[in-house]
Amino acid sequence: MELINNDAVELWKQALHIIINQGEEFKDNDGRFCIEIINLALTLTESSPKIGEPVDIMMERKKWVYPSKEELSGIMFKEYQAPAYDYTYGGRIFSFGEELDQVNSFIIPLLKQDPTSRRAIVVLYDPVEDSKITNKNTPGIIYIQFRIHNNKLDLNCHIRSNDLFFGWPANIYQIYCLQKFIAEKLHVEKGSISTISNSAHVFKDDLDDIKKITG
Amino acid sequence: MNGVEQKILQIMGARPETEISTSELVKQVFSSEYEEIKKYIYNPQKDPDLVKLGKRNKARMHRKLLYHLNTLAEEDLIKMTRTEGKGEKFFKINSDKQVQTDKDTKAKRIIDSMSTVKPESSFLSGFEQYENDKIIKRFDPQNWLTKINSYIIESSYQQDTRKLYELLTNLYPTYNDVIALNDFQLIVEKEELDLLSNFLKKINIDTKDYDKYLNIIIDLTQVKNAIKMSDFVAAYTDLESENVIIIFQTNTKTISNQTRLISQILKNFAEHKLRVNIQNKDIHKAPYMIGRAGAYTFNEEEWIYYQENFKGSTIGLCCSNTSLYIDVNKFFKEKSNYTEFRELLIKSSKALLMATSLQRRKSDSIFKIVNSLNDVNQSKFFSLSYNYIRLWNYGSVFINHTTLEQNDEEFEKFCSLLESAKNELNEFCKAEETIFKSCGIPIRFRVVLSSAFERFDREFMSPRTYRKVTIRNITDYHDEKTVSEIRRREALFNVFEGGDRVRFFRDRNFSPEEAISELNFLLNTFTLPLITYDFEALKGELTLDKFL
Repeated sequence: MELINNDAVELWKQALHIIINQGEEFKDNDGRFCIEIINLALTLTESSPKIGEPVDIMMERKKWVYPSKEELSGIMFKEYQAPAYDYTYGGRIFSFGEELDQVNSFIIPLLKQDPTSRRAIVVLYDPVEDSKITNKNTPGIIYIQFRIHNNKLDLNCHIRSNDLFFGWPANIYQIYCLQKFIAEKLHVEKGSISTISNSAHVFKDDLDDIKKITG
Repeated sequence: MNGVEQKILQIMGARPETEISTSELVKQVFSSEYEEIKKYIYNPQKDPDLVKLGKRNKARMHRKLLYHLNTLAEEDLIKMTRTEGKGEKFFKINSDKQVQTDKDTKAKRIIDSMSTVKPESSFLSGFEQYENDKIIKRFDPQNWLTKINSYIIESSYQQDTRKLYELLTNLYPTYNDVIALNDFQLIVEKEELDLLSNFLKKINIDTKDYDKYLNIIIDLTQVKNAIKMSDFVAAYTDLESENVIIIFQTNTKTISNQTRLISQILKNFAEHKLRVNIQNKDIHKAPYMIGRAGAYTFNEEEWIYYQENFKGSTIGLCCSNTSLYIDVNKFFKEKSNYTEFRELLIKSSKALLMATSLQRRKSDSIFKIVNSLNDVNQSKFFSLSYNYIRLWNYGSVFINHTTLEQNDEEFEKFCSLLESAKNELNEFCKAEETIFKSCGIPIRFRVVLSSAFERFDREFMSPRTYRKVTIRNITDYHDEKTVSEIRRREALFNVFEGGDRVRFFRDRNFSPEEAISELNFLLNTFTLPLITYDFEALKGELTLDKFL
């Protein structure tokens, strides 16, 4: 299923609405009840700073503490393993396996040399670290693909398991920051952003709070 | 930058090539205060009380100065060049001007970022109002975000006391309450006594200088050479150290098997009027620590996980990141409302979460010393840490303020309140971990409850209002009031996941046989993980102040 919108908040609300109304219930491995839609694609046609509005909405809620934009973008650009985190997206992107800078050594030179390339992929899942049966802390974002289309940098992101209520606002903001960074380096405009969530879900315990946002 | 630190840099910057002693710096940095102190020390009447007061204030000033010197050394702005005599330290400015400028900027940046976090966290958590009302206080507010409260170091991974001492010298700037040397019996058994004594003397001076605590954890169940251990304990008690604290881990079986050693230990501590701390491993196996703020410990299951999965890959394990305390007496004087108390705990947790968020973001620079020691396993060192909410003067909630009798019904209500609050806190932490994890920020966040020690902040805390109970000999433990008092503390131990301690004041001399049978009785009868025998009353300074 694919949803398309030019406004991040509207797209988010649409997605939540569809999951609640059309999703299937299941119990996850921690015993929590979820409502899930499989392979939900969300496309934001315009990438602008307004993309951070879902994060603002989450931060305004007094019931919980939501990570700040500074921390969210920081984790995307933390180039090496920081002691307080099991892994960081930035670590995986900028020093995969503690050696490969996937953006500066690959994505940017590749797209500079060949703007039509379909190989500009950043992989965040590290089988050496993550493919262990006991390891529960593995990245939700598996890979991010960049393509230049009509002189704009489009971004496509695959998320294996995506809490659409708590996680998606953060994820869309984080990949937007990365898109902005790379677009500036390539001197192209920012294009669309798409997320494909294999398990797009919400938790039943959060339904009351979700309904306050979806209205 | 702090005014004292600026002054130190000015003085040292004027003589960049010269080593300056702490005594000289004290005179210059605190010149007016120093002049005042001189009047006491050299008073014309030679009044010993005034001399004593002057010396005490001078020592306090030295400690204050050392704290700031230490901060500057941590940022590489200055360096310690040598120690002389009884441990007087000499410092010199970092003469590489390029490095100095960079580091100075960096230090300013860190301090600057610290000052921005306070209003943010207060505003968002609703915590500010209680801070203003002096109901809540952060532990060591200046270093709330930049230092870890407590952690364990595995003694077994250090070759000898020389290596251990070198390690500790690097670690003092990294924590603000206590670190503990786990399984220290292994070092005692392989090292010569004179080296051990020397080590004790040096750490005693350092901990005093830094005004921090250091625990030595000795597992009596693993002691093979009782005579050596007995000699080590004698060397320790001779020091009468306030900042170096031994915690003896034992169990009922060992109490029966090691009677001679344990009698000797108790005798030594009693002779020196020192507190002896005994952890009952039958009840709780994870190590306990005792600091300024209170007791610290780990969750049993998590401690086992650490031992089975990554013990040895780090220098030890972080126990507490940040702490604050709530003056329960003050809170209920103003707002006798259980719902608001629960809300306050959640607001406090939010403040702790925001603080740890900032710590995380800056963990590369803030914890660089500890990180470098843990090498590739940095995240494991922090993987089982907690944040502490400590309660002070909670006994006032269930006491009749006229008769000072404790009210069982009120106690039950308070205990249920804490039990439900503990569950709410756990739910909150779990929910926050889920939120952060779903945002691609896999963090550890746990808040535990514990009791606060009076020395957490003597000036700030309301006076203790609960009744004190006398323990003279073993028959006192059969007294109904005493037993119900201990049972209450047992109930609280279940709520205080962060650990708690019960203190028994002894006011009479006793034979070692009596002490052993008393310990046996306590360990077999009550589920108290950590007890402290306090022989302070033997000093004759207390009158009726024998209490739990």
